[in-house]
Amino acid sequence: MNSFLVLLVLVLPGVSHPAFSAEGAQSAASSERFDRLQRWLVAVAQHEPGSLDDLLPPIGAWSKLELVGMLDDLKRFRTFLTRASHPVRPQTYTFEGHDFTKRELQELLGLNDQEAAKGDINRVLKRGALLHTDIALNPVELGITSAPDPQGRLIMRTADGRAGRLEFGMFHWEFARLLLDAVLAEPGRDEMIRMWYRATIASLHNHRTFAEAGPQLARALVLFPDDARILFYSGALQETFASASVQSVVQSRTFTPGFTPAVSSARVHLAQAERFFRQALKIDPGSSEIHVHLANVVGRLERHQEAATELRGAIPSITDARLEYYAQMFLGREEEMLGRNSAARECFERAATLYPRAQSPQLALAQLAWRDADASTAFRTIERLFRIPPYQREREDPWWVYEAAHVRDAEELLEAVRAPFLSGPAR
Amino acid sequence: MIPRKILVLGLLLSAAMTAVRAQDAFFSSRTEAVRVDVLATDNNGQPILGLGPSDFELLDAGVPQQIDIVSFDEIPLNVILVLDTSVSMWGEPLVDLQNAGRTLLDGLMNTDSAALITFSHVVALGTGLTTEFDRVRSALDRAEASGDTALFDAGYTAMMLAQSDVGRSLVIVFSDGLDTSSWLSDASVLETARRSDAVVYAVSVGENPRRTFLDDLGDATGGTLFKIGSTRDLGAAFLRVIQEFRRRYLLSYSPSGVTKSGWHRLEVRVKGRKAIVRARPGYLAGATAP
Repeated sequence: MNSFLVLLVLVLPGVSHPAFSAEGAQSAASSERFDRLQRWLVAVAQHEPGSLDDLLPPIGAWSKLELVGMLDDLKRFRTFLTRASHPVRPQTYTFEGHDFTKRELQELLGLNDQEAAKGDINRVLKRGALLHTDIALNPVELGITSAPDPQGRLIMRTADGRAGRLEFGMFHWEFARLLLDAVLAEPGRDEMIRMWYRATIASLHNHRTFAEAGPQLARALVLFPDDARILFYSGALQETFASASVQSVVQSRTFTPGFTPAVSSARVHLAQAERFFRQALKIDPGSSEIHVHLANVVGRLERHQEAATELRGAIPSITDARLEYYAQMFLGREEEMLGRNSAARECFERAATLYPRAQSPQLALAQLAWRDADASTAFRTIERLFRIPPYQREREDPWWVYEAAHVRDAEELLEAVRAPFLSGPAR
Repeated sequence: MIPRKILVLGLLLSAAMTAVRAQDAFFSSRTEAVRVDVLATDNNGQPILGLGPSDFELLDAGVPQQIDIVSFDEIPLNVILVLDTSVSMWGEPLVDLQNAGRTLLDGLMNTDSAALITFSHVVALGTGLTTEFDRVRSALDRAEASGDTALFDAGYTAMMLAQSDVGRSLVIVFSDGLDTSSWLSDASVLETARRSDAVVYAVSVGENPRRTFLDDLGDATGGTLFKIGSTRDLGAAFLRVIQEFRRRYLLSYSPSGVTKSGWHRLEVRVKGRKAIVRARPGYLAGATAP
């Protein structure tokens, strides 16, 4: 498996921390404000998206107030630049005791003449979002610890279904979203922003950082309500919340009063997943992958006939071996639940043919034989399983990575978002 | 005496296995005897020893049965260790687990057999049933902690291994958490347990106030779940299991006056005295509906 980390959101009402006090706010408005903005703009201009350089750790340590204050300043600069194009408007902007001309602000922001003339800071905002994405994706590598979150979001780090330490949520994801929200004219029509949401959600899910994937998806759905991929990702996240790896954490822990896990019962999440998958299929009815995921949740909601019909409809158009493996395993499960053991056996055998070393089809076949009172077949099947060397690579069971199989292309998606900012006009 | 009408299949569960006595399922249509492993205790929880067949009353689906008691001399004991080696066992807990496994092996008799299954998300046969305990010790030494927890898959595999041999099977399952990655469902494994005559004693570590799969697995087989506070207590827990198991009675009977297939509810009582009897609540015979 790629990772054994799962992150869950907890809500802790009424968290207070000195960093959010009045003194903290004053600090954010101190004389360092201009220096911070300048350092951020230099970093945004110099940082190569996707790389981890020395520019990132200092910015990664900045507080939420410092970052939000800086974004407000950027917006004010933009307003000034836009208005300054009109001759009767003021031609200087006073910031932290300095009077800036339009030209000076253009140089500070790194804008070309065309951008400055229109007050267009979109490129800076997008590059900034990519910089904070790199921070948010690599806090450990950059040595960044998350700062207390004024909204009371706490994140639980878990491994192997067991609750681990609690951490404060990282603001950099939210700040990247805020930067992109500030892109004019409409972020919801900007293709780069759509790609950024798809790529980052895929990456977060792939790294099992579910606590951050949730807010990311919530914003993406507001901006792109008709995007089949984002709807699919939303359903897949709910499907994952209903999985044993997440549910086991909630079931094995008694939460202190005041702490509310952001994970509900499996049934609640399965119902939400079904809703998202059906919405996605309205837009992209030909997606076999979404049909397979829908069938899984419908089956888990004990509507076995419906799930089997869904899978039988999807399988003929599947060309990917791994996706067919899932479809056959799920269909086998549904056929078995419907009492059609012979059909179930065919499905499991097909899955075993696709992945001869996978553990799950052998277990399913053995269990089916045992249920049919065919002990000798059950034993032979287990014997076959035990002959496969007991190492993950040898067993190669796609079932073990089902939760993240749909986001295997996360890295490629991120590279596609970054590419225009590594070369070309956006560089 | 227990009828030995069990078909030998010559099944080898792995090339590494020796001393394997592979057999067909006890409850297959080719077998007639039913075995019920029973623990009888007094009000203080102390095992009642020295009971004979006439001291027990056994009802199969409400029908009294003629029973026999099988001694450990007549049928060998197979101990199947099923140990959680997922990533949460990394470090000291794994060392504790390995030491506990060795302690258990030291407590077995020469006539006993032992097998080892370890599991993360991968279910692995360390060794099949063998009387050469050094092989099991070596397999224990090789165990490494990594991965998720396929507790249901491992439980099912252990049942299959238990059923593949005619011996009296004690399955000892240890896990420090809940299932996170099995293909098989808890319900299907419990169904398998109800069709098995193996007894499962489970050991779990840590606080979990809720009822778990291991509680159900113990109940379904007439075993139980021991909860311990730390993996340091594992050795003592394993010894307690083996000591308690040796004080159990193995009742055997050829069912009469009952249907051959379906769920058979079992009631076992000790006649003429107050006793708490722990035995599996019933058994499933024949093919089952989903």
